[in-house]
Amino acid sequence: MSNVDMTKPPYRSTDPVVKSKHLFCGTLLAKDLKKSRKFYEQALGLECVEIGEDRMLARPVFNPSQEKRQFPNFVLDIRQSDEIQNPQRVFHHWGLELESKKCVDQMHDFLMENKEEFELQQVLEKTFQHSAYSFYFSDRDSNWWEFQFLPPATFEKVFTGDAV
Amino acid sequence: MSASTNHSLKKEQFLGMSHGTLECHNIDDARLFRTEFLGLETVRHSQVSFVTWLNDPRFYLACVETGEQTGEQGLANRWELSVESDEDVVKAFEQATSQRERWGIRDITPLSKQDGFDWFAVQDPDGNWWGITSRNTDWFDAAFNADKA
Repeated sequence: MSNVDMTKPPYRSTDPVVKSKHLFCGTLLAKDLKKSRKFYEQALGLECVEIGEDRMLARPVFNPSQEKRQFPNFVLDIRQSDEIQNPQRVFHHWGLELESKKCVDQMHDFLMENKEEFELQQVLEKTFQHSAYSFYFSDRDSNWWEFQFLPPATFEKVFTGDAV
Repeated sequence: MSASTNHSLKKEQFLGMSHGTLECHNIDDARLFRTEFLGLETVRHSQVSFVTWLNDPRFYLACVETGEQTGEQGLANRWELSVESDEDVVKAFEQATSQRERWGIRDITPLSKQDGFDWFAVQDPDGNWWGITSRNTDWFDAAFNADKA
C-alpha cells in the first residue's frame, strides 16, 4: 500500500518511479481529420492545427476575459486511422466546461439539431450528477465527450482530501 | 443550414477542458500505481471513483472502479506525461522494465523517438496506456503559434 498521506496535499509520492512534471496531453483516433476539425471547432469550441497529413492537435481557445475561470491548456493529439480498433465507452470521455447551466442546455439543443451534420452516434439526456449539470455524447469516431457546468465551490470540494 | 450559425455558444462561454475519464478494477491498486509509479496525485472523492492530477487540479482524470467489466484501452488512446529530460525518460524505461512484475505492468513499448524526444509507453494493470516523454508544453505552443504565423 502507498505510504502517501491521503488526508492532506500534495497527495503524491516523494520518490515515484516516473518523475512526472506535467500531465498535459491525451491521444485519440479519428477516421477523417477534416470532418473532425469541423466538429471540434464548431461544436467543441476547440482550436485545431494540422501537423501532418494524418495528425492534428486540438486545445481550448484562450479567452482573456475568462482568465480566472478558464481551465489549463490540455492538448488532444489526434491521429487519423481507417479503423477505430478500440471504440470508446462513456467511461472514457473528455470533459468540457461551460459557463453556466443555460449554456449546457443550449449546447444540447445545438447538438440535437445538428446530430446528422456532425454524424454524432449518440446524444444522451441531460442529468444532474456529482453536483454537475451535464450530458454525454459520442462522435462519428466513437469518442465520448461531456459538456458540463460545475459550480466552482463544488469543484474545490473534490480536492479537499479523501472522502471515503 | 450551417452548423456554425445555429445556437452555438460564444467563444468565451467555453471554459476549457477540465477532465478525462478512465476505468480501473480496484481503486486502492490503481491509486498505488498512479502515485508510486507514475508520480501523480490522487484523491478518492466517492465510494466508486477517484481523481488523479498533477500540480494543477483544474485538469484531472476521473477514474471509475468497474471491476471485471473494466475495458482494455489501445495505445492510440493514452495519456501523455512529461519528465524533465531524455535521461529521465531512459531511467523510467529501465525501471519500468526491471520492475514490470512488481507493478503488474501489462506491456511496455520499446524506447523510441517521438517528435524528436525520447518516448515510451506502459500499459498499467487496468489496461490503460501512459506515455512518458521529455516533450513539454513548449512544443505544443510552438505548433499552434506556427499555424497562426
